[in-house]
Amino acid sequence: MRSLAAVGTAMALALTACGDNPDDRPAAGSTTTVVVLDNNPLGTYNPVNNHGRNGESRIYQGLFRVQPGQPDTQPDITPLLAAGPAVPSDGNRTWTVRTRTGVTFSDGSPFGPDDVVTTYRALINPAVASTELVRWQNLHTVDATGPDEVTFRLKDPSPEFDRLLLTGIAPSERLDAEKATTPDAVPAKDSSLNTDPVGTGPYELTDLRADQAIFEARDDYWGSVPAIGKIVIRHVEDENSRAQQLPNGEGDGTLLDTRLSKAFDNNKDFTVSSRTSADWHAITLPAAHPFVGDQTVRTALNLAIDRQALVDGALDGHGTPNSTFLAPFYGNAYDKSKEIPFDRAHAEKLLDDAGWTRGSDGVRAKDGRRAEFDLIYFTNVGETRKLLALATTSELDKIGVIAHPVAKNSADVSDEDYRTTPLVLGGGSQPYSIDAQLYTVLHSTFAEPGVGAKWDNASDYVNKELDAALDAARVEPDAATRDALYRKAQASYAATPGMLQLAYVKHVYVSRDMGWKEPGVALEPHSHGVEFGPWYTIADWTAS
Amino acid sequence: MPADTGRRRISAVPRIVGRRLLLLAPITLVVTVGVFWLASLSPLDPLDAYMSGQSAALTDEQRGELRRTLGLDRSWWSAWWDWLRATLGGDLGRSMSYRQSVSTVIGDRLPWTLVLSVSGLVLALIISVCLGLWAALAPGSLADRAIGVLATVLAAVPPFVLGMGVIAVFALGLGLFPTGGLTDPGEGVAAGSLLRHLALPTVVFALSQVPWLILGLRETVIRTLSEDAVLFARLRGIPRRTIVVGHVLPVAAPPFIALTATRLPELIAGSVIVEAVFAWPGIGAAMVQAAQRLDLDLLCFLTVASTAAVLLCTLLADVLYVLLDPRVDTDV
Repeated sequence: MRSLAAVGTAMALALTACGDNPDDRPAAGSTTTVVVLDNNPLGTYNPVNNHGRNGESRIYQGLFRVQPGQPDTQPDITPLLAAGPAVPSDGNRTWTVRTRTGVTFSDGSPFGPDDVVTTYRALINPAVASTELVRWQNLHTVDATGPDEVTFRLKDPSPEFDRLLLTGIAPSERLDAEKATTPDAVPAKDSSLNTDPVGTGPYELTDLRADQAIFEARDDYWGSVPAIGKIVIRHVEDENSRAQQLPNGEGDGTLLDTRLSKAFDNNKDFTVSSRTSADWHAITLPAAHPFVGDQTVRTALNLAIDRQALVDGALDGHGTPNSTFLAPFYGNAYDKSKEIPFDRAHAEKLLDDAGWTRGSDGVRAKDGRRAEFDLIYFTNVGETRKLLALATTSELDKIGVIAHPVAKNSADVSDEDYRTTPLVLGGGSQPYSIDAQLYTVLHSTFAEPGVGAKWDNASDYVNKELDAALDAARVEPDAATRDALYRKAQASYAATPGMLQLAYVKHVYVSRDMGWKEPGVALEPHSHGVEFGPWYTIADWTAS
Repeated sequence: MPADTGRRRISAVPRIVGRRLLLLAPITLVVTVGVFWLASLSPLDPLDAYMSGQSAALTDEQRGELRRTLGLDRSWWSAWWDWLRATLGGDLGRSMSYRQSVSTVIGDRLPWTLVLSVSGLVLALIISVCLGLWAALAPGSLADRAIGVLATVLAAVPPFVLGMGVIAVFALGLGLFPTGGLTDPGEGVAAGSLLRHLALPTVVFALSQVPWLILGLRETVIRTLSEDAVLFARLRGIPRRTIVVGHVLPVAAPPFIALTATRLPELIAGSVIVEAVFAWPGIGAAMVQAAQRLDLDLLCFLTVASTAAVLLCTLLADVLYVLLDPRVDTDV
């Protein structure tokens, strides 16, 4: 019993030690508080790492911001901390941005070009070890070239460089401006900004626990003060738990997969919104694989899939069938007629002609090799990939091709797996220029071993005609010519496809109807949290 | 037992404790060496984990600089030596994945895991002592069989299923408790709200631990009841209650308490799933993340802490054994 008493005392101590500030509670039922359940861990609020990389932060603001209200087209990039559009010169190698005046950070310090310069210098300084380093490989230097002016110099011309300037800006003193370019710079992982962020945005972090972060609207915000005074982000990793917390009144909204969101379809307190994203989901067809690496087989598999049925079945309609990565939201760069059609008979004929003929069990084989492959899907990033893997498996079964779905945690999938085994891949985390969206996915440079991330051109697909079009478009200053180049790239890809692109999936959010109206829906990148969705514009919500 | 034997046994305790504590340091040291060595053999590249899989897109020069910045360019033994020196100097290092100091990551989470596992254990002990005794005192009865079935069923149901079920009934169905979290949204930590949020995870945690406690206690009590001493006591007409309280429990208690003490560290690890289901901000998720992302500083601290916890709890079990059970040789 002595041990029991000790345990009891320890518990009582723990309780009293933790319960010392009951007066900090908010007024119950305050209409200006919104509680959002997030699957991502809290407390990594450093724009020099990947917080707010697409301008979605509530704390920080970038030079430009993705305009909401244009989800079905390439959205406009509107100036935020910039005072006007970025001006290119030197054949799109130099970009000059005037910075806004009269803006203050949440710590009261004024915003100026030095903050922009220091933030971007920290991003490209390897000693800072930003996880965003890869994204800024083309940025050579950044300098303050006037009292309210910043100039970016690039290694290679980039006609849409301004569309990348969405990253949040941190105050230079917090990035240790003198050291930001030197080997003595503070590594991003050790920066105090991670847990004590200071930005120019409408909200500031006022409390942070392992399970909860509280953001409150700034009184001294330089723009118009938001109607939503307080945002509570609760970290709930388990998807089922998130789905249970909403109806119990412990949250006002979250991200759910299509299966769990269905429970809210007939709930009059909640709205299920399905939002267009540039989040592509495809199956890789690695060149090293003896069956799917063959170009005829790749083409046949692309023809054999009824993508509309896949979207309707596996995704419950929350997606758009797509076969060539270029999509309607890329405007004139997309040619609908170049989508790969669903033509199962043609697919079967291609396989027959290539010698992959059906055996007595209905499964195709050639020279004693059966037409089958393992198909890896990740288990740790939601249900969508599994559903797509299973649905594709049954589609392929109809043409005598057998896929064996294999569940794996993405952390356990090696470079070798990527090189040899088909897997369900999602991407599109920088979708606001076609170059950022497509180049690393399809260009043959990334087919070389050791070049690019392991998922870059994961099929090791080589199409020189496509390469030429992507390379030309990358530096082409004229928008119309660029669109024509991308249409050419699309046609070339469609004729000899390198992956089995299935769809652009929609992100499904469930949110409580609280009488607020959002100004518009934004085209979302590939993402896994609650930074986008209805809450992307939370600072601009108005009473409806 | 004679008084001087009892004193001798008590005086033996510091000797046992001292000897074990002397062993604790070298064992822990060997474990930390093992962590660094095993991590160096892992096919996962910590730089790639830090860069979320994009490290191959860097130039060789950048990769080299990043490795230097992140301290990944050292051999595993020099990384271990640096870590050891810093730790002994009171600096637990930085968690690469949480991007906070290890002491912050642990300080924010460990207290909540302790609160949950201690409250769960207390409840588990209460339930299992009641049910275990009830079953043992009437072996073969309906109650005994029902308790046996209950224990088997509870052992077979995974904690996350139990958690979801409890949430469905008591939170969503009856609306008596919140479904998860430490406090209501936006609220600071306060005792009343904490207790409400603690209730369901405590119950699930306790129920997941009771099967082996019940069955263990039942076994020892039944065995003790069949011993000659108890038989003679009954023959002498001593009331059953006196026999149970005065003779059976003192003999049956030591193995039960020791069993509980040796399993204490496992209880903390066992809270991982319960924490996930109830969005309880404990150490569980940090353990998983540290291992998956090769977050060495965090991983090492957690491993050392678990090692120390196992060793100390085993020691506690042995000391209790020596103090409570005169049959045990103190020369262990």
